[in-house]
Amino acid sequence: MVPADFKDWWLAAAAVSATLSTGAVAQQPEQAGVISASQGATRSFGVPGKRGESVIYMGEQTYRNEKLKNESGAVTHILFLDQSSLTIGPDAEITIDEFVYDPATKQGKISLNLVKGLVRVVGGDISKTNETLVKTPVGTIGIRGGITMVETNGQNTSGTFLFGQGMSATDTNGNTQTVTRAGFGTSFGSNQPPSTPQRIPVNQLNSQLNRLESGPGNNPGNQQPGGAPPGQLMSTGNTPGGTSNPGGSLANDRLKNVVDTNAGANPTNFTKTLTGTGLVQNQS
Amino acid sequence: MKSFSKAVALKAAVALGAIAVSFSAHAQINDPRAQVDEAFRALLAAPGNLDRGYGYARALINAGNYEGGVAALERMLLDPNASPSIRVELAVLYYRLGSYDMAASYAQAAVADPRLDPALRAAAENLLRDAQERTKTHRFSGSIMSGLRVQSNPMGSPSNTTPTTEADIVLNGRLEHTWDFGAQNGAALVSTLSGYASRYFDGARYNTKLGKTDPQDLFAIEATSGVRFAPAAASAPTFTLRPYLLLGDAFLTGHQYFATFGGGLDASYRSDSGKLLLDATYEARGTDYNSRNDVFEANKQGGLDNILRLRAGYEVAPGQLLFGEVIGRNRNTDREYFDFNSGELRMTYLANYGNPFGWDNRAWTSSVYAGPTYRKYGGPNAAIDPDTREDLEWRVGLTNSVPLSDSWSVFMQAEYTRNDSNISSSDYNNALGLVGVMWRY
Repeated sequence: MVPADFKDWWLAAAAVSATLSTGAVAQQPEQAGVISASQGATRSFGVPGKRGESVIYMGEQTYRNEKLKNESGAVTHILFLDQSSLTIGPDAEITIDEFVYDPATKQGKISLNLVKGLVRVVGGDISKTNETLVKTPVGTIGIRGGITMVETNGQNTSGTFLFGQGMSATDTNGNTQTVTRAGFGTSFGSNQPPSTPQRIPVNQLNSQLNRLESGPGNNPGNQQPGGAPPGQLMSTGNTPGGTSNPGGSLANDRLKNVVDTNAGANPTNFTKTLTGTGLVQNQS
Repeated sequence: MKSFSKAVALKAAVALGAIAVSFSAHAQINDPRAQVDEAFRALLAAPGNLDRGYGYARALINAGNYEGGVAALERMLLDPNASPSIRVELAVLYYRLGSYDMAASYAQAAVADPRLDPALRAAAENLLRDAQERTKTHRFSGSIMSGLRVQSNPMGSPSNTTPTTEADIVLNGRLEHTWDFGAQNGAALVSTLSGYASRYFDGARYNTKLGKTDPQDLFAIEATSGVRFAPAAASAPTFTLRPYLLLGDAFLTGHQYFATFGGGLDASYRSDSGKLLLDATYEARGTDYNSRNDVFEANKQGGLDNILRLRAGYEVAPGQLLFGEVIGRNRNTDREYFDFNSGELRMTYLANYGNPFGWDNRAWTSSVYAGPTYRKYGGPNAAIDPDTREDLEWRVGLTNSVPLSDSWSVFMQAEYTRNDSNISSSDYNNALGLVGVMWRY
């Protein structure tokens, strides 16, 4: 038997040390994000070593494996460390099943378990490469790089795809539908596979959005400071004209609109296409 | 001497190091992603700080991360006293993401808020109108322009003659109807109607008699229809195909000139950000000319044209576009001297900019374009010249569009065309000026 090399022993010691160190860290609750806004009471069912069952407020950290429940009328917004966000609607009950994020590679994994209620998920770094999963009692919604609203009452789940690469809906029997068009959605239940994706009516979107925010205060004197100065919006950037012609300045198909309008207004282009040379010459 | 060199080298190294550090710091300051991370860290430390919240949202938007901007701003709506502008911001961001139902939803809520100031209300109403139009099953878009045009040589008379300047009223437009089937691949029946009409003040009479010397009024209309769809909606949602059929008719001085028929295939791709557009179209276009005395061998000019158009557009900065077009054409007729192969290159720079006189916030649009067309005919016309004709035509122009309202604008164009041919009787040049009004739907 060849005696072990000193270098091998050193490597083995380092490996054991690293394992022990990882184990020690794993026992600590891992931060997932912070409560970045809240309205009404959000109850945490406790995080070992951090807090017992309690109402949590804006600015407090949230952790992996933490279960949260909103009271009636409460809305909570969580900003995750990968810059994903989660808005939790009234009466919703959700657990952050998994949150792993490596800031260096900007990769990781998010998995949420929605028992009941409405949530909106906006994907951050993680969802660019790995689906964010929202598990419900009757199936799972997968979100790839985008924005989605998920609602469940325990027997039925609906997912509305608002933007991104795609949203998958898979029931407990493995039936899947993929939604790739913004504003479309699907729903499914315990004995009902995900429906063919269809456009979600604007009034349904309005209703869901209303439940994820506080209604306008309707009192000009009691207005939140900040916001855009009159006539200026940060969302239009420095686009000339702003919203005066959104199809030609802001839409993601603006180039085609501008090019078609500009080329279409030029009469020479049309006659050239029509006759080949653009000229009509008389018989001489 | 040696220690002096060492000192110089040391100083140089320190200076280089300082420059490198300075460049690195400068790059970091100007790196949008670094600014986002910095703003995010600041926000995590104090989530209740509204300024930090806006700073984070602004950094995300500047970095082109509109969905991140949505997340940053939507949380502010949990405050019952949230600024009413937040919903307008969200409507714009969803609109920029192509999520038009959500844009309409937020714009609707913004308009319903009595606290919204008039300027932002107008912005929200504009956006709402556009977003709602885009979510309809049947939608129309397009533009029609009509104006007074003056040309120095509209008929392309040879350069060694004295052409007469002519003026006409011209009407030009394109309307598009989209019938959205509501499918995941965006399948929609897209139909277009393009039209052109000219009426010269001193035009030829409305007959087909031989010996006309004045320019003739032309009326032409052309329709296309075909289903546009994304063949790989999940992996490449912005790549679309549209096979189509086309049908058209043209009248010269009120009498049938020619009919067109055929079909084509459009392929189009745009980047997710919308900054890059690539289009390719192949079209087979048949033309059937009518026999008429006032057009030289009219019934021999018909046949099949094969046309390939390649177009690339790039947004070099917000509101500034550069696009290039290459058009290849193969014309086949009943006479060799009407047949030709041509290649055209056209480059256009287009800029949208704020109203220089500041009476409103609508953007003016100016463009400059230039490009050559090379045309080689299929054979000589012995009655004119024993050589086969070859042309090199240059066209340069300027356009300017001044908006009067969201739908109406004044359109101005100046263009110069010069054709150099190996057959002297085919040399010509033409200068054109046009002032009109344009209606955009």
